[in-house]
Amino acid sequence: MTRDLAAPEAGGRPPAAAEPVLEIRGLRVSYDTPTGRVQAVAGLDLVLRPGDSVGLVGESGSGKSTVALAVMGLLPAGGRVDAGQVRLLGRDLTTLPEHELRAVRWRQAAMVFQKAMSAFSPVHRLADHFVDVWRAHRPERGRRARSLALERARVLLEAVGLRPDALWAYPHTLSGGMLQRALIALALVHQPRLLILDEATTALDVVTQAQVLSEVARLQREFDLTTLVISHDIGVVAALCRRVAVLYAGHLVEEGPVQQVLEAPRHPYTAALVRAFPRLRGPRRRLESIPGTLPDLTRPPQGCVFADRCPRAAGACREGPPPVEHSGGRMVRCRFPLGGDAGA
Amino acid sequence: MRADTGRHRRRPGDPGRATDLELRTFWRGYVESRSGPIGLALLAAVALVAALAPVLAPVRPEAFTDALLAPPGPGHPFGTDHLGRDIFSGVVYGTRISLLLGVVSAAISAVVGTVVGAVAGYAGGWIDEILSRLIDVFLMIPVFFLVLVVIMLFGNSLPYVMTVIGLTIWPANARLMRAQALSLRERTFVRAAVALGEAHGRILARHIIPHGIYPVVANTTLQVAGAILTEAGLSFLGLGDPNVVSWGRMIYEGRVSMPHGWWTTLFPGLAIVVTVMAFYLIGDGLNHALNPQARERGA
Amino acid sequence: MPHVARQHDGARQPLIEARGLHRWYGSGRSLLARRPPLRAVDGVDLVVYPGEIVGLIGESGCGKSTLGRLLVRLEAPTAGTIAFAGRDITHLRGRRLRALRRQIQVIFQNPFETFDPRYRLRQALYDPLRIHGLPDAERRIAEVMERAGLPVDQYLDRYPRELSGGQLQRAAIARAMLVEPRFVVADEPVSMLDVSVRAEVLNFLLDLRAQRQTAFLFITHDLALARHVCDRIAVMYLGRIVEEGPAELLTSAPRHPYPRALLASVPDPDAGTAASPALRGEPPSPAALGTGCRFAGRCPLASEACRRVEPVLEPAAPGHRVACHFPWEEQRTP
Repeated sequence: MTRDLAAPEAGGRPPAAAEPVLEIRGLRVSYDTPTGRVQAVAGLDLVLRPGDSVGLVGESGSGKSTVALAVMGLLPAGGRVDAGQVRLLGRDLTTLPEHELRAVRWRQAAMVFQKAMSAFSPVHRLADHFVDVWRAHRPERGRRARSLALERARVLLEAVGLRPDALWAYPHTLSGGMLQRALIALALVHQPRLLILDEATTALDVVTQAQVLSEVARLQREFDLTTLVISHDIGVVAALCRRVAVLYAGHLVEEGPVQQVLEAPRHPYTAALVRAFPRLRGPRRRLESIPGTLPDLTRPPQGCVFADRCPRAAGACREGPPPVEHSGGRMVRCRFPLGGDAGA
Repeated sequence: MRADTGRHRRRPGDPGRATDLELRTFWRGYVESRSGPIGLALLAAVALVAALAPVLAPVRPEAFTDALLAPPGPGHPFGTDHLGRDIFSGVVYGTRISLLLGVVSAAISAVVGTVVGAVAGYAGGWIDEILSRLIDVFLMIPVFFLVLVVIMLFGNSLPYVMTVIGLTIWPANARLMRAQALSLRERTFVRAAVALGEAHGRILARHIIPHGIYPVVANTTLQVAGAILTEAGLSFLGLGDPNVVSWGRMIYEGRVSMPHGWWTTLFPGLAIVVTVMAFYLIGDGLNHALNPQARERGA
Repeated sequence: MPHVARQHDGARQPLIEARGLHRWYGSGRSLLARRPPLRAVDGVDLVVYPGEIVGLIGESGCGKSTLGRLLVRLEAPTAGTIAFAGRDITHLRGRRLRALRRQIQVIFQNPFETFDPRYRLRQALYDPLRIHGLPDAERRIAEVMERAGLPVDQYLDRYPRELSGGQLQRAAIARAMLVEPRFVVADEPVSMLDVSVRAEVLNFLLDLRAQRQTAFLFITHDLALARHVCDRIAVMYLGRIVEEGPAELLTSAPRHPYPRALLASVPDPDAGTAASPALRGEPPSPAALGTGCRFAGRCPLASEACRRVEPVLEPAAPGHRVACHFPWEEQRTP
């Protein structure tokens, strides 16, 4: 099965210590707004090795979608990369001209958004979308391109749990779950190494979401995908990812293996976020919120960005940036992390 | 201040931050239309002429002078007609009549159209059925002939003409307002007002009409131009108010001298063109500025 | 968290009581074809007692929001009755209906849409008091806004766009509570908010309930959330309630296969793997319902009987009702 699915040029699985698929170094992104320049991503480091699956978790305003858009070179007008590198398979995308970026999208990195309905043209059948995407990055033309594209499309549709005859459907005749599946299939046409899922299941009902999540989990294995999953839902990230990176106000505050981070968070923000999620197990309790609001990102604070809302914050936290601590495959950016010997 | 502008479930065109941002985008759209600012400048000029008529015009427009059918020259910049009346003065004072007539007719249309349309769209059900039929019936009648018939039957004083024109062109506004009300009544803040027990009249006045009025405003501007043309047409057929000097009437009276006095009809005609164009350009600018918003507002 | 165990004995009078409620759309009056109606709500019995929070759970399109709109009389039912404090309110109209609105309030899903963007908060909050002729406007507004964590001196003169989603939703609750309603329908009140601010909105609701014994119908798609907020839960599928019972029970061991599937589908941060999909396919259209159990097409346990005879809600235990021919039994536990 795996052999059939893989596109011809995909070779064997690279060794574990291989070159990273995605390597983000010191990424800074800002947006122009009427009230000033907003620092959306403030010095982000993230490395995805082949076969990795990393969840980028954060709330609105954390900058998580901005990271995805910056990787794909799709920042909206007014947004720009101020510093840092985004290396995809060794090539720095931030310096690539647009026409070369276009070649990278779909072929090496593909992205699935939340709103499947608006990603499809309502007057074209699914088949036409597959053919278009195929033609955009392949030399074949005419009938040959069409038959090759449809052949690939049938395989992919089946892989995401759709019947191949969905090819002949118009988008509006499909349900949200089916469209989201079709969109994932479309992203995989050119066998990209990196797949970015930006809130890709957020709009779906819980049962459909579970179906799509299990299909994505299978695709990760069968297509040898490296995935970056962007979500506000730690449950989704836990289902799809081995590692999780927690983003707050443009800063990566904690990173590590999913289970470890969620069970024993070290950054106070991660801890508060995990606590704020209602659970189906354990005692019923009064839900906890995180008091306060995001700092004004047109004037980012001198010290820790979370200090104003942090129960552990001390004077030192507001004076300078918090230290970064690496240990046991985990990273935490905090002066007084939880669970360590460092008390308050 | 939020970097992630696309919070996952917030709708585009988020009305949460409307008003002054809306106003700013509106103005930018209006200016970008190009026609809008030109129209506004033209209208300002026309309005200035109307306001300063007694200063600008050398004589009263009804006054007879000795010069019969004099060509444009030093004493009479636009010449005189066959009765010796100064064309320039006529054109200048006619500005007042045309503006008054256009604005009043369109205002009547706007008020009636807005109320009928808003009630129909908001109430729905049988009320909508009846009002919609009424709108359709009015839309099917050729306005000009209806006006013609009514004027011939009941008289042709200026207030009468204004009212009759206004009362025949409102259905276009009503249709626009009805469409707005239909989508607005599904908006959460309108439902919230209903759920609070607000009276329907107040909901219409405070939530539906203020939010849905923009297309009506744009259309009403165009109707000002239409009303001026209608009056000119009536007057040209000799059915205008004989007691006021309007451009249409000047053309009507000048037509006999056309072969040997082109100026008697040309200048009033140009005045009509300029004024009508001013309103068309403004209406065009308004449409340009409002349509993207109307798209966002839909559903 | 003080979840009061409530008894549903005959001694207590229900605050709101829906009987055989139906809401069908498009009754086939189309000119060209007689299309079957869309049965959004299709025979619902539901009771809410004073001071109780009842969760109404289901996927999009199951009719839960329609049911909410019916109960607050924003829509008229096609059939069935609604009684409020023992009085039939199904056909109230005009002035009487507007007077009833003081007793029954609603909180909408989208806080960014709840307030007319043209008016300041002051106006929005003053309106309900004017409508119902309640005195002491200043004091009441100050009191409820204080509780909402929105002090009047800072927030009253703001426009809605100047508040965050969480603040707006608390203001919306404050406005609904100003008229001191006895029953409130909260339709997905936190689904559009960030997780970190959900609790402050929900806890505000819970505090009001504790103080005033207000009853809530809490409409949500989030089982885990409902577990922490509600006393009782009713699960809806394609226009009908399929199971109803204590919140703890319905979020741990429901007996109808559909809530069981819902429960199994929730991505669980503590489990660490993708939940295996509990159901295949998607719900059929509520315009194309045949005979028999409407869940039979997707049900792993469905038999021939299920496809012929539609099960009705029947008591399975005190305060627990299930509409299934083959409800899950304790001994089948794996």
